[in-house]
Amino acid sequence: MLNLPDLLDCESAIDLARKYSKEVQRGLRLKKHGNQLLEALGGRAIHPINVAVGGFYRLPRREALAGLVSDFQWGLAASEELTRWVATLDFPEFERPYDFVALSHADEYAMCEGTICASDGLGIGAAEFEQYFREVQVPHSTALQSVRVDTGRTYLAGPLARINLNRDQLLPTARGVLDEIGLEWPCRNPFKSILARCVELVQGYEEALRILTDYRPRGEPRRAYDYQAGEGASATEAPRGLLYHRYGVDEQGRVTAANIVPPTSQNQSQMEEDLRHYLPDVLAGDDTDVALACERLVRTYDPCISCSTHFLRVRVERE
Amino acid sequence: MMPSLPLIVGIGSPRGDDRAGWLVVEELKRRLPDADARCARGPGEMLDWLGHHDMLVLCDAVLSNVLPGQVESWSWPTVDLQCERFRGTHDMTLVAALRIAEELQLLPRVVRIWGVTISSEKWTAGVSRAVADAVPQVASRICEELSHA
Repeated sequence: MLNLPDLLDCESAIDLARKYSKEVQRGLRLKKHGNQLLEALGGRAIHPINVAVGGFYRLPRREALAGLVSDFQWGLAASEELTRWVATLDFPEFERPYDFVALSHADEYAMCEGTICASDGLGIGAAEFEQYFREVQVPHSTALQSVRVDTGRTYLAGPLARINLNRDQLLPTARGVLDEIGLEWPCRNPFKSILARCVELVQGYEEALRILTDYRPRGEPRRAYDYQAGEGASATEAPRGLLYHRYGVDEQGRVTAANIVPPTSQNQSQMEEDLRHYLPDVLAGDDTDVALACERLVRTYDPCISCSTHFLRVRVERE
Repeated sequence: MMPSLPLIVGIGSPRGDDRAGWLVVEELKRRLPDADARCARGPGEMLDWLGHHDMLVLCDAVLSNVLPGQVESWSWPTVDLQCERFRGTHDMTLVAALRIAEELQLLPRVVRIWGVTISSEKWTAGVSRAVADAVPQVASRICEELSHA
């Protein structure tokens, strides 16, 4: 809903709601399911309280999850329909030779755990992340930017990377829709990230339905633990891409070291690389058009709501 | 007498005085146990709940240069809201959420918006004295309005 205005020539989500009311209503209903699920698992939709170190304070109630099944059945069908519709839209012709980086897992479409993999065959554990990926400072920005240590080059994390690396492990409905919309692989057009997100939405509904239907509470809600000094690292897939955490703790459980590398910083330098290559295609327009075109490219990485309105200040020095 | 079904939404975050909207909702839940009063992390969340109510009451913090803890109110639609600095960094603005709801014909006939001025959105454990004092005032004024609606 936040990226769609760019593909439908709408000025904003408000304009989109005016012109595509049915689609926006559908999008809002899909979004609502996420909050409902969070409430059932986390105890409340806002700042959930049920998640604890080692598991949950209380096991999710079966009735609470089973009560969501009919909504999620609707959501699965609606997300398939949405994906087919989005696939019919026109996307700018623009491709980049990405080095895709994402988690991969032998048994599933990796989101929560797995090996950190890249297009060139790299496969490492989370504990090795900082040996292969490095955050660097750049003169023009206060934001850290990530590059591969071995090549010094940028890489792409996020839905397009995940789908490119792991599409064979999508669940049957998601894989079926992906095949149906006919994307060519590898897909290197960042504007088509929205399609990858749509397919992952189908995947999410399909997996959620399986869990909601089969879930039976059993065992303890969380693992017991004692404090001991040590260090650990882990990586998951956040919607925007690979998320890395490393913590050191002392014998009393106090955090002595922490390093978080979010997908935003991992994609930052790739985003700037993309803009450098995209600009020649759009520079013929006036400054407002150039800014809008660049915003559209940035939103393919991060269609968050705060970025869904005009946010780039562009000054073009023309000779 | 309360309208048959008002929806009351407090918008906020755990960041210090930005909790104002949530605190008003908590106070209203004590005073009006049957009311449909909810806390939201951002204005966009209210879109999940609209469509079944006769009246919408919103309460949010407003970053302001004037003294913190001042109470302001508006009736939608109004152009005055465009320049008010309702807080939120990762969600659509309050005005955008209301306009989307309007386009989707989800807004009830009566929409009232209450703002509590804050001077900072810094992360602090509690709220300032001025904002804490304003919370029961806003709740009282909302209760009074609802009783006449």
